Amino acid sequence: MEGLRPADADADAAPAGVIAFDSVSKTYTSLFRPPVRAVEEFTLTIERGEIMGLAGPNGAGKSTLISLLLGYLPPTSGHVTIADSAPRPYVERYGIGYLSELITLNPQWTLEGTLERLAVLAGLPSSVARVRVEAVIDELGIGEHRGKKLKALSKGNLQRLGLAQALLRDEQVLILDEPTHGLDPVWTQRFRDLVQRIRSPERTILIASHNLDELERLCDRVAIIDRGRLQRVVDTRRAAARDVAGTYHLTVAVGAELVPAIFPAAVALGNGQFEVEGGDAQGLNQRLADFLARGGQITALIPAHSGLEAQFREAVRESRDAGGTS
Amino acid sequence: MSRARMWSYLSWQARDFVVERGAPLLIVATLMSFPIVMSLRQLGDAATPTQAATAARYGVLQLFAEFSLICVLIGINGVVSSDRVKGYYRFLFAKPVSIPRYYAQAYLVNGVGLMLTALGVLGAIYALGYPVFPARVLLMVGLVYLSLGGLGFFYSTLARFDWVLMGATWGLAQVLRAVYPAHESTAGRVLNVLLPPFHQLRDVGLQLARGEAAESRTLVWLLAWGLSGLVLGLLILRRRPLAT
Repeated sequence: MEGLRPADADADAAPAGVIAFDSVSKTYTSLFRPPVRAVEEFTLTIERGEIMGLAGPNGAGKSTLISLLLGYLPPTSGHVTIADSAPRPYVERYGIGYLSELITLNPQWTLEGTLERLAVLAGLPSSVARVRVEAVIDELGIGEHRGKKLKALSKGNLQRLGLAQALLRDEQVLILDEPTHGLDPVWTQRFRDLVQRIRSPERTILIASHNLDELERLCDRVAIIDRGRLQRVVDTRRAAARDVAGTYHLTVAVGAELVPAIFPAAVALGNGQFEVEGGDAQGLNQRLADFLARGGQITALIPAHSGLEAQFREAVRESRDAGGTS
Repeated sequence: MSRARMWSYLSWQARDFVVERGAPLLIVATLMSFPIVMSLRQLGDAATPTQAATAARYGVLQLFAEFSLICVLIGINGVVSSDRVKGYYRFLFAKPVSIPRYYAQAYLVNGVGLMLTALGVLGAIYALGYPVFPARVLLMVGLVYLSLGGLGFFYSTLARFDWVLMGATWGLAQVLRAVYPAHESTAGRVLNVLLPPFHQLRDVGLQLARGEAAESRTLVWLLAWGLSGLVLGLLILRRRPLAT
C-alpha cells in the first residue's frame, strides 16, 4: 500500500476538505422543454475524514449533486463549497480524485497512456508520475492491459482504470460515483479494502451508489435523496447496532412445523426458511426461546433488510407519498 | 503551478492532434495536391525551367488558397465541443487544471500542427521535383487559422456543431453582402463593418503568400475577428458550465 501513500511532494498542499451544500437547488431549463428541478433545497455537510454515501433511486439527483461539486454545473440557488472555497477554484488549485459513473475517456488512448497523461494533468512531476502510474496499475491489477486501447477493455477493467486515475495523486477529496459498477466479487472486496486503506482523518470521501450494502459497509453516514431532496441522513455506524429489524429470515433445521404457531405472521420461503416479524427485542427473544424450548433448532437468523435498506425504502416511500399529495 | 502542468501536457495534446486530425489532413492534402502535381507534370519538358518554376509557384499558391481553409476547418473542428459532447471533460477537469488554459493551449498546439502540416505539404511538393518552396504560404495558413480558427474556437465553446455554425456564418455574411452591397446603402455599409470579413481572406492570404503588401486595415480586421472569437471563447469557458 506504500505505493498509494502520499507521493506528491507538492508544497502547496490542499486544505482538509469539508464539503458543504447549503440550500442548493438546481433547475435545468431548456427552450423547448419544461424546466426540470433536479435538486431542491439540498443542505448537507460532509466532515473532514468522513466517508459519506449518497443513495437514491435513478433520477434522484445524485449525478447533478456531483456535477455541482466538481463545478461542472452552477447551482440555480444556494451554495456549494469545498474547504470554504467555490468548487471550481478548489478543483483548479488542488484537484479532486474523481471516478465518474461512466468511464468517458477517449477510447483510442491506451490504458498506460491515459494514466500517464492524467498524472501530468494532476500536476505530478514527471519523475513522481511514473512511480505513481506504476503504483496504481499494480494496486488495481491492470498491468497486463497497459498497452491496450480503452475501447478494447472490459467494463470491469475500465472501472479499475477509473479507480486508478482517481488515486493517482493523494487528493484530500475523493468522489466515487458507482465505484463497484462492473467489478467482479473479488475486485469489489479489494475495492472495499482499498477504501479502508485510503481512509484518513484528513481525507473526505463521497461515494454515490445504488448498492446499499456497499454503502453500509464503507460509509460513516449515508444521505438518502429522492426527487432532488435530501430525505434523511443515516448514521450507518449507529444503524449497525440499532434496534431489532422489522423482519428476519429465520432458517430452521428442526421444527419447521412449530414456526407458524410461534410467529403468527411467518411466511414460509421453502427449505426450512421463513420470513418472520421482528417486533421488540424482548418479544423476539421470547419467541425464539419458546421455539428452542419446544425442540426446534435454528441455523440462521438474518435481518431481511439491512438497516440502511429499511431506511432507504421508508424514506423513498415517504417521499413518494408526500409527492403524491403535494 | 497550473502552468507548469499544462506545458508538460503539451506533448499529449500534440499527440492528439496527430492521431485525431493527422489522417484527415493527409488525405485532404493528397487529394488537393494531386491535380496540381499532375498538371505540372503534363507541362513537363515543354516548358523552360523558368516557366516551369512560375507555373509550379502559381499552382502551389492556388493549392494553399483552398487547402488553408479546409485544413483550418479540420484543425479547429470540435476543439472544445468534442470533449464536452463525449464527456471527456469529466475526468480531465477533475484534475487541478484551468479549463481556459487547457483549451488555449490546444488552440496553440493545433495551430502549430497545421503550420507543420503545411510545411510538410510544401516539402513533399519540393521533393517531387518542383523547384519551388514558397514558405510565405505559411503566412496565409497562419492568417486563416488566426481569423477563421478564432471564430471556430468561439463556436466550439458554444455548440456541438461548430463547423456548421462556421459555414453558416460565412454563407450568411456572403448572402447579406450580396443583398446589401456596401457601396449602395447605409445598411450595406454598416453590415459590411459588422459582418465577418472572411470574403477577404483568400485575397489577403494570397497577397501575404506572394510577398505583396497586404492592406493593413483588412489584415487587422481579419485578425481582430479571430482574436475576438478566441478571447470570447476563453471567457465562455471561464464562465459557462461544461455540463449541460
